[in-house]
Amino acid sequence: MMLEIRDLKVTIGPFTIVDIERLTLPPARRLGIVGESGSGKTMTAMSIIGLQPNEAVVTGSIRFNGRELVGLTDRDFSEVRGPEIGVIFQDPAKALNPMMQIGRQVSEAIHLHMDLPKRQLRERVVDLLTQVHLRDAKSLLRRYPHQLSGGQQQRVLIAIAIACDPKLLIADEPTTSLDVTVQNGILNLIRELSASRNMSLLFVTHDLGVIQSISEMIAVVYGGQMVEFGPADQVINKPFHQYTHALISANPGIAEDEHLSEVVNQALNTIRGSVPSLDKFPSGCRFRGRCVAETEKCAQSPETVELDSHLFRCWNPIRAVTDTRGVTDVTR
Amino acid sequence: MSLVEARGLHFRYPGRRRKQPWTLQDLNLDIERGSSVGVVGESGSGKSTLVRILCGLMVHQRGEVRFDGRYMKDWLHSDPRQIRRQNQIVFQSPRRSLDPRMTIRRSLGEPVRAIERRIPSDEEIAGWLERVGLKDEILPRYPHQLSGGQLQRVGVARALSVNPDVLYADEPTSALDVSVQAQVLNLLMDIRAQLGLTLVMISHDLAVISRTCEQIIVMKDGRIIEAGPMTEILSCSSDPYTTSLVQSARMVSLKA
Amino acid sequence: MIVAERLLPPGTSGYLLGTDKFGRDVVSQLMAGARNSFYVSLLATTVAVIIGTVFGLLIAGSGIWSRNIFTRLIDMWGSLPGILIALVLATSTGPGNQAAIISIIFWFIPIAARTVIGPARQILALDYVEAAFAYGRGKWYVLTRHVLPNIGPLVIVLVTILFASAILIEAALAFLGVGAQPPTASWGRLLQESQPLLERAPTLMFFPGVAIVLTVLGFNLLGDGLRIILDPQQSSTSEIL
Repeated sequence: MMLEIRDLKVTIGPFTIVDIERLTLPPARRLGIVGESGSGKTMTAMSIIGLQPNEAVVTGSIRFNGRELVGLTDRDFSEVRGPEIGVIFQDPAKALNPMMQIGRQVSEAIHLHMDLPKRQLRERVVDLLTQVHLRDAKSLLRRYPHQLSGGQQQRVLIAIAIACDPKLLIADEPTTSLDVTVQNGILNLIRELSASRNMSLLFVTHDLGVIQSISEMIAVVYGGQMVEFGPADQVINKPFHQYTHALISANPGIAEDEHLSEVVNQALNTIRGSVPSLDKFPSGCRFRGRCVAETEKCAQSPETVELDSHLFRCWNPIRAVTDTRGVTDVTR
Repeated sequence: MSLVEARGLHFRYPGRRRKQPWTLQDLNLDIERGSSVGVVGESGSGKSTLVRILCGLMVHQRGEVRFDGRYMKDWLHSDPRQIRRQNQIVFQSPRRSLDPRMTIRRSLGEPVRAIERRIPSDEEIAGWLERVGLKDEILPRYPHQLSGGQLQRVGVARALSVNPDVLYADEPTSALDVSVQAQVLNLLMDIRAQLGLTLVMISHDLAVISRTCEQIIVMKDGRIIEAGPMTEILSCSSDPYTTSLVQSARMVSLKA
Repeated sequence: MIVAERLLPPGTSGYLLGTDKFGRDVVSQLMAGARNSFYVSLLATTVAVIIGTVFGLLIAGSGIWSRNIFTRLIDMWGSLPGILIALVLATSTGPGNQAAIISIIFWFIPIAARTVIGPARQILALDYVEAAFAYGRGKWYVLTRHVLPNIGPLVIVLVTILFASAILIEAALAFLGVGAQPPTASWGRLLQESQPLLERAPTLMFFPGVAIVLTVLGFNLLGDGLRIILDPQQSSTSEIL
């Protein structure tokens, strides 16, 4: 396992921001974490690389390539960030230094961890920029961020993130601020890099379509808890958890050509209420109060049910659970 | 006769060098009364600018814009309050479009105060809230005490308070959680059905447009690439830009 | 004037800080000077900030061409040396508090205007201001009811800081002889009068100087503190969702 998370809890004061029992990511595989605002998805990603806010307390275990990351000092983390784990964030314009040339920004990222003579450094930078499909890499070296488009800027950031050949790439909403025509290019690039470099990917977003497009496995988080985890197409097409199902039906994609005229003006499926603020989450199952299948049992925190690498935490899943004996238990 | 018409519309932000390219170039469009029109395009295509000109908030330099048969410049000159009443906007970020120092009650009453020069009655305000599914307990509160979804409903209620003919919505759901987006979109569709409102919605999200708008306008670099029935344009457009836009959108949209 | 009581040192009974060359009690002089300084400074600062803010708001709300022109004009105005203006005024209309007040007002208006223009423009670009225009509010309403309350804290801080400067300027003008004329007391003039007596009665220079320093420092610190308290609420450009 490249990444193994167990009983991860991140708290700020009395609030539990993240509560994940188990999450695994094999080498060279792509995991998507999907959730709305306040779901804790970004905090999860940040706590893996030690970028959580100072007030946050992280407990539990995050094992990366056999090494325990929880409790590492900032100094230790600086050796992990870059050569072991690369990160890209949402707004490329903000992540790049507007006063520094592109070439220099990339070479600094390399230079931090590898001592290379100037010539080799430059070659490596051009090579990286070419790998992220930026045309005319040599001329880009001297340009400034504002002279590049959003998509190009994000590619530069990806280049910086993979500069030292990390084994894990963490991407936090990297395509959210980009136009849809550019998004595809970036997603394709990330997919390709993951394959060619045998690099695991942890992709965080609120966009279901994007998560479906990029992930091999999907983890759904709500209110800080991971409510479902499994292979991508199973989570999307055969979800168990009520929230996953509700989220998917509230978020229709573009209908097929033949059906376009049927669905116009049709009411969309909604989820009752809205995501509560941190102090207003119900006890027991956090989705209580908004769930259509709620029962009394939901006042207790649901147990994790695991079937064949597909996990969920729901007392009243939307689809029947078949246990190991092959018997379908619909009362569960 | 269309409700909103543009012919040869050109617009450029003032104060730039004279050889600066037009932000909007040679636009021609018609919006029929009661229709729902989606305006799509990438960032920088001029969608927001177009909407602001069509509703009279900004003035174009060349070409004509007509509202209900009358030139917009004429409206703005002789009857500006009327044009404001008939064209209202719902903005993208509900939190930023409400003055943080005003109570919800006050914010809701602003259009009536400004346009009809009177203070709205409690019954009226209650009616507006009901129309968007909100309870009157939120009236004395301030924006920071409400959720994004609630605030956007307040924005819609505020816009509808003067019974406009056209409601322009600038990315009304982009800043909202996924689970709340559907609620607001349903609200817009319901209201349009009930009041016979003309709805013009800007969105970068083609999926949203495909569910809520019967007509579509595709923009690129300040020009209108195509305009027409949504189903036709999304499924069998012959324009290469539109097709690539639709294709990209389909690739990142959910297929369940 | 009581000759016997001239230039008494501080600590003499009945004269806590001593007397000046005319036998006048220094403490009383300081108090009278304070009253004069505060009167001139408060009046001048308030009037200047009001006028400057109005100018600033009007300029912030104008179209790009007028804005460019008027900003340049304000800049030119602001580059005129204040002391020189004061001297010119004093020469033509006669020295005194009035000349001091008018020159301070003239000096401060462009400062106030320039301070206001930037933040006002920022607020005018906010969504809820655009929304106000969209539902029919006029420019003047928006400037007074949306922009002004939001730059209020900024203006208050400006007043305190300018007030401190005004105290200093008033003293300087009096020192030069164009400000308050005798018998009106002024710290500046006390300073000036104490100059030739530096060897015989050095404390005469010390006390007015300290008074000026403490007052200016005090109001500057007040302004700083106010800014810290009031600033976080002001025009935040951070995304909330």
